[in-house]
Amino acid sequence: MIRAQVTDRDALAARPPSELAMYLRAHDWTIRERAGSSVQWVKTVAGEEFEALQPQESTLRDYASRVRDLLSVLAVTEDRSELDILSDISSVSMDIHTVRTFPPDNAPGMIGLEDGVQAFESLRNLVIAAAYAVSVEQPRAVQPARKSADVLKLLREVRIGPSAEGSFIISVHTPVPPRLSPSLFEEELPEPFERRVALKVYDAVRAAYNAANDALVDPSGFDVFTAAVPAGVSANLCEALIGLGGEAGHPFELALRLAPSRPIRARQFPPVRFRRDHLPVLASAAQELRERVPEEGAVVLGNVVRLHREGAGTGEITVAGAVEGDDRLRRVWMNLTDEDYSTAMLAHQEMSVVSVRGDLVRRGTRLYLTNPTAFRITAGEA
Amino acid sequence: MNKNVHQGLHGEGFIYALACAGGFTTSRMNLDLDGVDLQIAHPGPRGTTRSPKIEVQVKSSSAPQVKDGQIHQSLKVGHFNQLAGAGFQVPRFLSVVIVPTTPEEYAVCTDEHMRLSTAAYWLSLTDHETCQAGRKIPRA
Repeated sequence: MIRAQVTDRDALAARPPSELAMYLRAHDWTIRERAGSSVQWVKTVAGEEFEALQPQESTLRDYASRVRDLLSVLAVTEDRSELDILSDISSVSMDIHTVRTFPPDNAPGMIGLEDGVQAFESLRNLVIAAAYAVSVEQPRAVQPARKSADVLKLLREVRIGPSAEGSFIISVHTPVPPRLSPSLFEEELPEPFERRVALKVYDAVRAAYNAANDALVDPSGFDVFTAAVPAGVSANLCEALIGLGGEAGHPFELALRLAPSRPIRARQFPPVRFRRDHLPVLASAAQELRERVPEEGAVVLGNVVRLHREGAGTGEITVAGAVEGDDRLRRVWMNLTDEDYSTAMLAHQEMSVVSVRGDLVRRGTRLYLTNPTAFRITAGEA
Repeated sequence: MNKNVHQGLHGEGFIYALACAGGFTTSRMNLDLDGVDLQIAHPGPRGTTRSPKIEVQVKSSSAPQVKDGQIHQSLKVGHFNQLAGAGFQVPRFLSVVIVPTTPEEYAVCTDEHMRLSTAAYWLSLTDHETCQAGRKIPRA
C-alpha cells in the first residue's frame, strides 16, 4: 500500500462538512460537543480516546487545514493512507462496484488498451442490465436495446471512479440518498431506485456465478440460467461479464461497497470471483438465452439487400441496418407475406429504407425477425 | 548558512522549547500554504493532537524597533492578512522573538543550565481587518 499525506488544498477544501460528518458517524465516532464553528467528535480505540475536530462551515478561512488535521487523525486511528481515507470521504454517499481484473503479462495497474476499453463498456452494460431488471415488473432473459427513462436517468448519475492500485481495477460510483431516519426503520422503508440497482448488480452477478458453477458440473443444465432470470440474469448480463474477461478471457472479481451513509447491516457482500473456465459457460448461456427467448417488440431499420422466393406466396428477405436503440450494423432475416414481399421488392429496387417490427431471435449465426408487422418504406425518415 | 535562515530557525526553536516545557506538541506547518509556521496543541494518543490548539506565525528580530514600551514589527501584507480578522477555527497568533545579534549568543550552555535568548512576545490580530498596503503594527 502506498502511504500518502494529502496536502492539496483544493482537494481538501472540496469535501463539504456534511461528508466529513457522515464519514465520522459511519466509522463510529460520536459527538462530544459543538462549539461555534467546530464539532468535537471522539472515538476510543484500544483504550485510548482520540479527538477529531470537524469544521462546520466550508467558508472558514482555515477550512483546508482543518480537513487535513482530520485526515491525519483518521490515518492514525484506521492505520491507512490519507489518500484512501480522502477517497472514502468523497464517496461516503456512493455505492461502489469494483471490478478487479487480472490480465496476464501486464505490470500491476496496467491493462491493454483494447481490454481496458472493453472492460469499461462491459461494466456499463452490467449496470444497464441490472437497472433494466429493477425497472420492469418481469425481468427478461433477453433485454431490449432501447433503454427506459429510469435507466437513462440512472446512467447519467453513475460515475466512473478513480483508478486504484493493484492489477487493473475499475469502479463505478452510484450516488444514493443518505438515510435520515434512525436505523430502527432500516428494513421498513423501501430503498430508492439507485440502491436497488446497486444491489441487483451484485445479486444478479452472484446468481450468474452460481449458475455457471452448476453448469460446469452438469453440462445438460442450461436451465439453471433460465431459472436465474428472475434474479436478474440475462443474456445481456452474461455478455457483459464475458466482456470483463477481455480478449484472452482473464479472471476477474466483482465487489460491492455500499455507501456508509446508507448501510445495510444485515448483509455482507463477499466479492464474486470468476475464473477463466467460467467464461465459455457464460458465452454458451448467453447464446442459449438469445436462441430460446426472443427480444420482443424490436424495430429494425435498414435497406433490403436480399430477396428470395420460390414460387408465389411468402418469401424471405434480408435487411441490412440496425435495431432501434442499438448502433451496431446487423443483417436481419425474415419471412414476409405476399403483400409485404412486394413492398420489399420495390424498396430493393429503389434502394429505400424500410422499417419493420417483430421479435428478434438468434438461430445459429443468423438474426431472425419473427412475427413481422408494420413492414413499410420509411421514405427517408430514418 | 544564510543569516536570516539561521535567525528564523532559532526563533522557531525558542517557541518550540517553550511549548515543550509547557507540555504541548508542536507541528510544523507551511507558512506559504497555511499562513502559519507552527501548530501548538495538547498531545493526543499515538502522536495525534487534541484541543485546545493554536497556530502561530513566528517572526524573529535582532534589532527590534521599540517606541514607548512597544515593539514595532512590520509584516508583509500577505503574512498580515493570514493572521488578521475572524473566521479561523483554530485561533492564530503572531509571535515575535527578539534574538541576539550574534548566533553564538542564541543558546549558551553551562553545566548548570542552557540559556536560550532572548524573549518572545505574542499578539492576536483577530480584531484587526485585513489590509491592502504595507503597514506597521504597534505591539505590546
